[in-house]
Amino acid sequence: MKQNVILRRLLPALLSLGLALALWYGLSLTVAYTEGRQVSLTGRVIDRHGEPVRGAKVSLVLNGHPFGAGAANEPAPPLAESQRDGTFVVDLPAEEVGAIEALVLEISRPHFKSLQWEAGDDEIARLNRGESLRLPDMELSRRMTVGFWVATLTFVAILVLIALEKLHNTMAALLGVAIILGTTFVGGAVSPDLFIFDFERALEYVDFNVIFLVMGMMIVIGVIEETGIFQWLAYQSYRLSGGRAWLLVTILMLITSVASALLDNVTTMLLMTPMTIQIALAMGITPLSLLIPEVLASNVGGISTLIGTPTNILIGSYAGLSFNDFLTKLTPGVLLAQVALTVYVLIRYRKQFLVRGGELSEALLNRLRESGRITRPAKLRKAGLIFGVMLLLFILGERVHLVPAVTAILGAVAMLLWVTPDIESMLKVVDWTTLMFFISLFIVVGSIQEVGLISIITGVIGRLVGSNLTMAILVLVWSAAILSGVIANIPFTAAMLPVVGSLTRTIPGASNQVLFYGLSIGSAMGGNSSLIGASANLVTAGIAERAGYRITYVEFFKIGMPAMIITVAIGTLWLFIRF
Amino acid sequence: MYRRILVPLDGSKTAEKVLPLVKVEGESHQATIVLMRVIPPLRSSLMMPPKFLEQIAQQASEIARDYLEGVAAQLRAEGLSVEIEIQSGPPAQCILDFAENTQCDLIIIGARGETGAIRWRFGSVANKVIRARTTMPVLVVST
Repeated sequence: MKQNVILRRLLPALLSLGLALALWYGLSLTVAYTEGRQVSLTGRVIDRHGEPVRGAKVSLVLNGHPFGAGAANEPAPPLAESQRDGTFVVDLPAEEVGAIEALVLEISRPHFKSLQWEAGDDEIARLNRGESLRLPDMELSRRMTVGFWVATLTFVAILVLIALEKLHNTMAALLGVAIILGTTFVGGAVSPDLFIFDFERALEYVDFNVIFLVMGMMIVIGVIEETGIFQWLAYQSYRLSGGRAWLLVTILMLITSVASALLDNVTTMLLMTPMTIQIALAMGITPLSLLIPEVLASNVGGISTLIGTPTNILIGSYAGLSFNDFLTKLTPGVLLAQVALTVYVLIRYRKQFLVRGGELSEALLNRLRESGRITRPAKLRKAGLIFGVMLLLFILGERVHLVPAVTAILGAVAMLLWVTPDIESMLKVVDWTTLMFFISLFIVVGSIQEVGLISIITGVIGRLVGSNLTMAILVLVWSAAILSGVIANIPFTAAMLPVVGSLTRTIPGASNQVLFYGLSIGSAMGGNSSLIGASANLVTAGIAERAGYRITYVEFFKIGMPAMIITVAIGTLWLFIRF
Repeated sequence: MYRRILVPLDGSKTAEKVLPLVKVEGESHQATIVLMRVIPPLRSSLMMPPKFLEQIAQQASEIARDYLEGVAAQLRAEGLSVEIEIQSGPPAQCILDFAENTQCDLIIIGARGETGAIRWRFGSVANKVIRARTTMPVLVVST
């Protein structure tokens, strides 16, 4: 008891003493700092395209001696490093420097030629008077090292491996990371030309905004799915259509499109395909005439929101586009494309849709009715409420700087605590391999940025389009659309982001981010042109094939290619109208 | 004399073209017909959580069962003894393993069942079955 009293009295006294000591120490530091006179050299490092170069090391040779080195024959240690915006500050304490007769600044960075800048008489005089200097921009030129080729070939190999399905996406991307970091750490010790980037720099390229948003949305979708809402929606669309195939496909396309905008299009197709096959079988029509239109609608519908496709999540995070930006600037255009797509599908499939299908199967209809029920109404109410609040936060959160990733995590945690309090379910509803894919992809794309491949691509596109924004939009949208039919659109988009970012800064009139919206339209709508163009296509084809209904490459191309041309044309038109 | 004849079907009408021959062989040898459907692995992709994959696998298995039961009913109506078997995995491998493990003594398979993406990825199943080092007699029917 007595001890407690002593402690209670002593503690405030000790705390006050500690605080006073800390203050005194802090003040004395400040005094010491201001007492020492120093001059500063500030500057900026840029590349040939005027883009800031970060991570360039700045060292100094003063009066013919490497500044800060132990001996005259040692290289000068770096005094500063350029920041994200390319700027650097070199502070020189006057007493250490003494009288300056000659000053040479050395700027070096992996994958660039080193640069030396020599101070003129005027600058030396100013420094000797104790004035700080603002240096001219230092332009570094690229150097193609062996590391450049390693990173470039690794990136190309990943695209090829994924396109040919020789390796799982994640495995291919992880292999890329292993090659790049392995080359840096093993090869870099042998020759500096093999250095690509170190692990610390590699991690700086990982966009955790994307990782958390994707993970949060996976949990949210996983919990919502348990309620049976998707099966219910699919069954209701069958009931609403009254057995008319043309009406059924229109409703299913609408549902798929809206679901893809709010969830993710691959997930939407994972949920819609099994139910669609059941409906088609019950109605006696071929499932493909419903599935192909659905997947086309899914690829288009996903573009309308920030969370609708992984590519939009990537674009939104990189360019700082909010949920509202997508909603106000892209959604109307996507809706127009969606209407055109529906009309196209109805004309294209008119024979199948107008002819009454085979017999209605009573047994299959009963099964459909059975699986089309809301299985857990109480869960649905809770999950619906959380999802509603999430949507509000996505829309309103921008005002309080609430980033979408945080909203998604808040929603996911609420779902896990309130709707399905079971950590096992979290393990099962998150596709952890996808998250690992994104982390690895960011590192691989970071490496080609680091070695200068992105800069070369930017240069080529920049020369092609000049300062003509219309031309830039056309080239970007259509090349993205065509390439997305051949290569996986997520790595493509991730690699194009810095290119588009650079073009946005250099092309007059592009500051409204129109090129980012163009990339979104091109890469996602372009996926409709071929079966391998989008993950959703492959997933749908896979499930349909396992049920005994095959979507051939040619069949998909015949229907998908015109759909892609129509929707991308409308998308491009919308960009010209809106921006 | 064959006692167990394995008939892999992939759900396509093309593959079903082997059925008339299966009837003849089954009747003449008084053999048990084993109708087999192998569900190929779902192509790997992103954004596919394990839970949904399980659900899809279950549904594929239900569809396969419905299909095989339908074909089996036709054959049983003709007085044949029929069993059904559903497996998941690489088709050719599953067919050969099952045939060897369950003492089947003949495989009757259509030369061309699947087309499209699965064939592009896996090659022709019949081709793989006959090229495998098996001592099992394989009857390939031109379809």
